[in-house]
Amino acid sequence: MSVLELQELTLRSAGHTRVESVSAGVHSGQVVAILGANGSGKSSLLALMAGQIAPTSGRALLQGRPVHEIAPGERARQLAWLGQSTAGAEAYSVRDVISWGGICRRGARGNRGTRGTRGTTTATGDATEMVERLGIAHLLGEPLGNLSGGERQRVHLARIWQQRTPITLLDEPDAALDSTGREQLHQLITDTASEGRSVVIVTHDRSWAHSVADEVWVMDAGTLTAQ
Amino acid sequence: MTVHPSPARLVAVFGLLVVVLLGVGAAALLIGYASFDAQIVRTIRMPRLALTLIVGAGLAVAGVLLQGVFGNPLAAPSIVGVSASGAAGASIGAALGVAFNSVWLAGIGALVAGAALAVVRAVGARQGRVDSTAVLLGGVAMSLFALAVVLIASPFIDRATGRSFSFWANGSFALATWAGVVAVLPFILVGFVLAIVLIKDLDPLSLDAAAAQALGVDVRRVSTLALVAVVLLVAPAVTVVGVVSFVGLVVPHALRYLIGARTATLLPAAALAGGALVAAADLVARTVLAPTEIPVGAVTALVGAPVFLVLLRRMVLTRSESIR
Repeated sequence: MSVLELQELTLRSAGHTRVESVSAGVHSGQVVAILGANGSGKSSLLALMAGQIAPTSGRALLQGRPVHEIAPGERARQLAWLGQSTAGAEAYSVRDVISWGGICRRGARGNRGTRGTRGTTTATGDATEMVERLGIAHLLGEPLGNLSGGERQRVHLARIWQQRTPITLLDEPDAALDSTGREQLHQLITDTASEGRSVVIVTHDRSWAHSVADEVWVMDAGTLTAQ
Repeated sequence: MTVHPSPARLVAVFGLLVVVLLGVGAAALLIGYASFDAQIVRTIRMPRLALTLIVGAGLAVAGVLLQGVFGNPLAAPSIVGVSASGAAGASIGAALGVAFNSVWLAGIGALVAGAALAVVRAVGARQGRVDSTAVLLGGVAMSLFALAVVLIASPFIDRATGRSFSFWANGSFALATWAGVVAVLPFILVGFVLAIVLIKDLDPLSLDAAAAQALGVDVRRVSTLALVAVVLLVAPAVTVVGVVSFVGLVVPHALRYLIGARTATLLPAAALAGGALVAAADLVARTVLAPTEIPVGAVTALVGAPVFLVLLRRMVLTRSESIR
């Protein structure tokens, strides 16, 4: 059964069709990679799946409900999304930014949220282990504005992994990473899937997509041409 | 720049702010007066000091909220048009005969400023996101429009009340009374409560709206409540003392360098520093060319503009150093 189901999903904006009648499903524990040329609608499709934008027609269903209609707090406990932008929060420390991944569980029963990175347990390991796995443990006290693009990307990956969601959506997470970073991300995705959690990645790297994913979707001019 | 202040640093900064606040408060009650008459202190000097403290605190906290909501360090009450439109509301109300230093005039100021801010925000909004640059430019245009309204309404306000165009545009505490404090305080207290409620949600907004939303922050709700708080913290105060610029811009910036960007520490520090700054500015305005009193907004601008330019330059240099 699909944990995230897309039914005839269509998005039109500014006179252009970004996504056209996409129907597909993401299963529990599955890793899906979305490939396609620039402007083919990959990021728009991922944003629709994340509920960041409402579709023009069709539905993206999370547990049977249109994902964009679910309240942000509840949605963030089910689904983590990392866009392409790593800008912002320059004046905050790496520790602060990573801790924001726990906001969605603030006030939830049996969980007091993630106040810091030390001693916070996640399904994939605790937060301390996560920052060490991503090679950013030495940066915790640094302001985000002092980091390179690749370092920032690792911080944001650590941040959204703190959400501990059943579904994780990543828009070009490998774009700013070096080869070591890609290997770390690859292992993180594999471990996450082994815990029964789903990961969807948008990437331009065909070989990486085929090595990390159980299923590869190919977008062309807004339509899903191969699955 | 400090991102993670130690507890000792926080205690030192907050302790220093309290000491400065008390020192400036004492100086404001004692300096520049020929005699010390208990009756005059109680009815004239104390309400004046009280107004400077609460107006300054409100302006600085409003600056923290605006910079958080719009993710833009240039956002401030006088930039986004809240201050000037509050003055426009007050001058229209006064021209229609609404009493000065009244809750009614404060309410009219808040309504007009709220409507103006809603328009400015709508101009910058697209598909649920807000373009902060458009908001700032729209705010500048709104400020000029509102000051034109003040200019037109001013001749219809009784000259004997002392509220000229200069009063509204540049601010003055010379006409402060306890009635003015009572008119402003309820609005500012509600604004403070709203700001406190939003503390935990403001930090993630420094990413972008989409990222904050994905973390579980209800961005639309938080932004709307924060802007309501800004209007309540600024516009009613403007109806009593006019526009006092630069406080909401400079205080949050200066404090970020000392104690970092976390809203939970920045907000109370801004309240203390804003109150101290405006009280000190009023002291200078009242004494530097005595017996002539200069507008307090002129003092805050003369101090605030150079300080802000220095901070801006440091920010630019820091950013360029971080580009690798």
